[in-house]
Amino acid sequence: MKILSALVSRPVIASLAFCLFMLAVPVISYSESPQVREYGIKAAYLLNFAKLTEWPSGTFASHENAFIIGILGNDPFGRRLDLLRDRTVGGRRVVIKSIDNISESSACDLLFIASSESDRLQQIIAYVRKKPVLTVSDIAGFENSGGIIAFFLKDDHVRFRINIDAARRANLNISSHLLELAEIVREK
Amino acid sequence: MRTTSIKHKLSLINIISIGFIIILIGLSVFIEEFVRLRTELLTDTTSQAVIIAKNSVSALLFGDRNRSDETLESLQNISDIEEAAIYTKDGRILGRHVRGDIKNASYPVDPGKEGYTFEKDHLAVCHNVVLDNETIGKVYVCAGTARIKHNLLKLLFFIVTVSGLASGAAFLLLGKLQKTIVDPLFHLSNVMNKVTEEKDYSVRTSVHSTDELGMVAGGLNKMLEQIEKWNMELEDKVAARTTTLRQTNELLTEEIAERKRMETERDMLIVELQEALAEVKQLSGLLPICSSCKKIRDDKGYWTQIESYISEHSEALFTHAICPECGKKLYPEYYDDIWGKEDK
Repeated sequence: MKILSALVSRPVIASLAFCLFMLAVPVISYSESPQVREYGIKAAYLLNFAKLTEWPSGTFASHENAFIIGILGNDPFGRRLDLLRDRTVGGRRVVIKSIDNISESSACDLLFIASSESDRLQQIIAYVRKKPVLTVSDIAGFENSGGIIAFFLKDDHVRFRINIDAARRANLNISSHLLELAEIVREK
Repeated sequence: MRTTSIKHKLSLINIISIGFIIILIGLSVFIEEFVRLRTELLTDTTSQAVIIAKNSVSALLFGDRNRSDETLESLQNISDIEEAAIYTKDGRILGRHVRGDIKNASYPVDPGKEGYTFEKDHLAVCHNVVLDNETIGKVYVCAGTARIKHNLLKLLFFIVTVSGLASGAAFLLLGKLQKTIVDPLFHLSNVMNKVTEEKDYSVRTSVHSTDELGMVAGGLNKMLEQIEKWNMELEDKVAARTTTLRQTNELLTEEIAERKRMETERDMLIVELQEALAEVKQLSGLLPICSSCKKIRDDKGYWTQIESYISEHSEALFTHAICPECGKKLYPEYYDDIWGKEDK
């Protein structure tokens, strides 16, 4: 025991801890890769969008105590969305739903359309058009296809464009706080 | 206090009342202004904090520093605000504003609870940024109280100057008004002095106002009139009595003189009577007379002729003549010549 304790002396423990730390660094840096960080930010933004948007009265008749965020297609957020699970929007608990079927999308209040769905984007848009669903996507040109909020990257920062005509069509009232940070897009 | 004159008492009353009023007014104006400026600063700063809080929602939600700086830029034109900052939910400073002249800005690590605190020379206001019942950040605004102090100092100077001028003017005015009370009083007291010292009841006061002093003066005049009247009546009575007494005195003196005179007369009469009595005694008693020659024997035993005896013992004197009978007898030759004629 004495030999062991002599071996495991303070400098040894310190160097061991240092090695462990050095091993851990790549792990941490991996978990904070730009890709992952970007979706962390986007997940937080989803909640902000929800908080700064007003839904028409009667929207929550079917699910009074829940705010449903639907993720259509391959979920790019992963566990990042877990951050939103305990949060509320207008006093309603956030519920995250993964959706594959387009018909389910009208039950959502906020619909995130993953880039995997870019092929059937027109179909999806056509389905939720005029329904009080806030559509968000990072598919390029989403805002011009009739989507409401489109993410884009500018100088490594997550930015967004808002198609206010699409929002008006969906009967959604987007707060000026949100509009002042967005690039505004209008349909001609 | 009892020995000081009315003039000094009135001056003292003036000083005390004017001073009291001026201090009271000055104090109330000062306090009112102090409270007003403080409330104004608090209202302004709080409303700025509220506006910043409203405008910093998006900046806080999306962690946008540019946006928060833009929001704070609006404070540049508000000179009272020295520092301002927007804090995120976890206490980081997202944006800040410092007035140009402030050298070392000191943002608190934690702006604390929502509300305000007045400190030595600044007012710190903290306002929560709330979205959807959730506090997403805090706004801290710190305003300097230098302007308030400057304004209060100016007000104080103004109050002191105006108070000085006002009290001076009031003093002069009251002094003049005071004369309308003090002068008649002096006059009254002078009249009283003259009456008591010189016993001159003919003096009269010349106060002809209808106020209390006028009433006192009128009363004094009436009293003096009454006293003078009584005095004159008394003098008249004394004079009349004196005349009566003098007359009585004269009468008495006269009477006494008369009596004295009568007494002397009586005494003389008595003497005369006594003398007469003495003379009467000389011829009284028995006189031995010779039956022939009619000589009278005196006390010494000498025989004297009757006429010399009577002349001696009385006032009577004798003239000698011859009666006709004796003439006939003695001188018959001449009888017819002397006495015959007489018979015819």
